[in-house]
Amino acid sequence: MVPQDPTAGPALPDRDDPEAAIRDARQRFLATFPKRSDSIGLLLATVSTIGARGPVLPLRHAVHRLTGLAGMLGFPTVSARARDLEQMLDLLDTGAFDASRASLLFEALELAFTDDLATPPDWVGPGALARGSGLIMVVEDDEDQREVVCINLEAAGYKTLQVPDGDTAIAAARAGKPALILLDANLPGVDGYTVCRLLKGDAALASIPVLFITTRSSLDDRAVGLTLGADDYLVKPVDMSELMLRVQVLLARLAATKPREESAGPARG
Amino acid sequence: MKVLLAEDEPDVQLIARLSLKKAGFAVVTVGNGVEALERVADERPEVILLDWMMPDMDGYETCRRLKADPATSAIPVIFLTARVQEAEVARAIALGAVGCIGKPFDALALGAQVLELLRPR
Repeated sequence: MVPQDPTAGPALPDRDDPEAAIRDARQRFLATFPKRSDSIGLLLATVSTIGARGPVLPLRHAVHRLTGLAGMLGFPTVSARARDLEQMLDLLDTGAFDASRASLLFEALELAFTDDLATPPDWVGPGALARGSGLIMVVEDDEDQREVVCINLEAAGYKTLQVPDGDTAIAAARAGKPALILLDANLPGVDGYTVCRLLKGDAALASIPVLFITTRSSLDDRAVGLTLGADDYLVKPVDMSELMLRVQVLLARLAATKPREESAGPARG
Repeated sequence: MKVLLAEDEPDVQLIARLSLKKAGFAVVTVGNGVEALERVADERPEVILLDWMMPDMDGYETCRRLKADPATSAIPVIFLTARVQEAEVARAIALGAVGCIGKPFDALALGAQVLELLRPR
């Protein structure tokens, strides 16, 4: 497969080009992996609890499809871990199924996604990782930390909007219309959780994904953030590579859902 | 050469179809074994690619029925499967398939792999 030329201008989509189809499918896979993974996790938990009386066939189908698709789209480790899980599920037929081992295999599968994302195949091309041309708003009161995050985002091709406090975050979001908001929870004045609640309660801003970055690491704090509608949560110190990958996944997920929402048209009432 | 491709994962089906088309095949796609059996009489494909695990009817049962029907038994069948262990390949051959292509497969080389399996031995 020929790698993309990052210096080339945007090419018109060729509906009959298998290479373009693979790249498009990879973007869809990026966006839908969390949902696929959640579904497999739920099915696996049920099967692990009630055994062969559980949804074994849907689970096998979901894992089998992941094995084939992930491998084709440049996620070889995800594919390999899915195959490991498939083989474990085969043991349901013999009574040798080990729920604890299956749970570990599933965890390894989820971790493999980030690993594979960090090492894309050549055919993805550097342009795919730097394609993020959207605006990302970074709400962080520590100037040094804010700068570090913004420098990394800009190096990855994004534009940034720096906001030093929660008081001005909503107005900045309305004015800047960012594609994504990175939000520190511990802000002076209006804190990050309040900012998130206000964002998600505003019809014009609610669809913007929010990724919390905070020193708070307890499960309760994480739950509060996600309950308020945050889309992801990272605890400081944040690994910049992981942050970039999570940003990429959130934006890919947003891109995958937007066309559906736009094509759905107005609701009938 | 016309190929009937039975694959339930939409993206795998799309990529395989485009790749086969680029390699010169005429491609008919279906999402499961039941549809494959329904379409085979009308389409008269020269080769059938079957995913191993599909809803409604899996690839093995589909192959068994194709080989049991004199009208379709001569059409070469190739399995697309993540299971390329010796026992699984032997099972596929025993059913009358000409071979297996392992998943994940190199989508852009799929046409060449199909032609290789169809080459007279």
